[in-house]
Amino acid sequence: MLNKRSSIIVPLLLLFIAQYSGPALAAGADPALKAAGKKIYMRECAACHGVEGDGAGPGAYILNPRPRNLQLGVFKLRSTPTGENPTDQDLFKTITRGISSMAGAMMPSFQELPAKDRWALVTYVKAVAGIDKAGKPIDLPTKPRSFDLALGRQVYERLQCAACHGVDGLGDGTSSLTLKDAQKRRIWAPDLSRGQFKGGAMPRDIYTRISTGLDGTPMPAYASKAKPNEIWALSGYVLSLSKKNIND
Amino acid sequence: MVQLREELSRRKFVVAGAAATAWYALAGAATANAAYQEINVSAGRTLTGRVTFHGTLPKPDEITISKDNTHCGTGSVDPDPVKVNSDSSVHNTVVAIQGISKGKSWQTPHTTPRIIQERCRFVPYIQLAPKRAVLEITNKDPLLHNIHAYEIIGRARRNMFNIAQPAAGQVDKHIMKTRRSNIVEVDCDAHNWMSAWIYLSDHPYVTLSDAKGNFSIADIPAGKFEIIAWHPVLGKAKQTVDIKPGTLPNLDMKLKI
Ligand code: HEC
Ligand code: HEC
Repeated sequence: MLNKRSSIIVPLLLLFIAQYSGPALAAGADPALKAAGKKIYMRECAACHGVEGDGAGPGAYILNPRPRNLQLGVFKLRSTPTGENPTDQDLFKTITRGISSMAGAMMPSFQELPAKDRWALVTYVKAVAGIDKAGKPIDLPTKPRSFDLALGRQVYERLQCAACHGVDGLGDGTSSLTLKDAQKRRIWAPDLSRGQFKGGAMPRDIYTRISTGLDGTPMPAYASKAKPNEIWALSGYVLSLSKKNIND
Repeated sequence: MVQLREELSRRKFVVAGAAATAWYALAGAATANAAYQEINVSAGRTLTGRVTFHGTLPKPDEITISKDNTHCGTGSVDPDPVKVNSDSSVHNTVVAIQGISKGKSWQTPHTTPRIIQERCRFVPYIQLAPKRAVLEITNKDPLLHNIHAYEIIGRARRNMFNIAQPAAGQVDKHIMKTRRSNIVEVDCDAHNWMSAWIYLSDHPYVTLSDAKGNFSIADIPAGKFEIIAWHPVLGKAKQTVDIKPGTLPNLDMKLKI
């Protein structure tokens, strides 16, 4: 009886793994998956990112920041150190969530697409971006039970986040007026009190963004500049600017 | 017109890009392995010359020192200052031999490239380093700098890394990984007048012109080579030289924007 059941469960589990992490393991080497991804890309993504992935689709000019030139292989939303390739999961997450800032949605969420289609897109994006090997994610230590917000505020001051984000995180730092992105277009340090984060608003998302930076933008990586407990406290502090009851 | 031409060649790059990207991903790994081979060069020759510029100088860029004035000073700065001497000669221009696969060895200081942030300027402004060298970055100022490196590919700037240094005395080391270009631009987003350049080379047959625009490259094995000159603002020059017994020409590398 038991045996019979596991003989159903195991293949199901295998199917599940094949569907959800199969492409991740294949690491862009599967031509069929890449071809499938290309087809979906042309339908869902090319209008913004361009047929060649150069970021110059017909709809690109109305967006700021512009849709990414995927060929350059530079990604803002990574769990990997600055300058490293993203993981497959990072790309999957971006495609699933889309990208919204305080200025609104810039890239729609594609969570309606079946997971296997989103994995095929990951494979295709990696091929366009020239990524042969995924980066290695940073260590994510255990989140504290509650955030030491006073310490977080201190770390915010010590790391001089205020230079860009302003003393109170409102995006009005003295350097904010002169910031440019990699394409030399004006970019602003966001008002952190709006609680809109491109890479997600979970504490671990904020921890990751502060540690790895957003490559291609002025937001630098702080990984080596504070201890893990300090970065957690700072992440809590950043979130407390938009969520009053962060520790409840 | 120049603008248009650049635009066109960029387009070309973009079209070729899709096919090229996959290739570069492989080639990137391959070039790292097919490394330059250091050998004893006997009877190597020395090439000398001068870098000059003859066209119309572009308008200098004036950026106001708008913050941190106690440490950064006041007034305005040209992030990429250009000085052309009265005899048209140009300082701080990279001169490199192309396509040498074996020869002399790299010497210090190039083997340990360093950049220092001091009084809100990068020192040195321009330097040479081997490809994939590890750059050591030091902040001497008691304020936040972020060292932001880009690989320059045509008109595109490809982010290489961006590291915060919020206190004096901080030192970071980071490998300079590029995909297809030799030119690295360094910025500080917190101080938009800070600028520096690093030229990465596969081999040590590369130098910078001195204050009088002169350069010399020693220990060159025999062969026909292309010589290039590159200046961050004043453009490029190219010539072919046959390195053989007898007198070598004294090159005049005429930059063109
Ligand atoms: C409505 C336009 C639009 C569509 C459609 C769109 N994108 Fe984007 N995408 C953007 C914009 C704009 C950005 C840049 C956002 C930024 O730089 O903050 C972006 C950025 C990205 C990034 C970079 C994320 C990072 O970490 O930096 C990836 C990867 C990406 N898009 C993939 C896709 C894929 C795959 C599709 C199709 C399933 C798609 N996009 C469809 C507009 C779009
Ligand atoms: C040199 C300027 C600069 C400094 C210093 C800086 N930031 Fe940023 N930061 C930016 C910019 C610009 C963006 C927006 C990037 C984008 O939206 O593409 C950003 C984005 C962010 C985000 C949003 C991430 C997301 O998912 O959308 C957070 C959170 C953040 N910064 C926190 C911090 C903290 C905390 C510090 C100090 C440890 C800091 N920043 C220091 C410029 C800076």
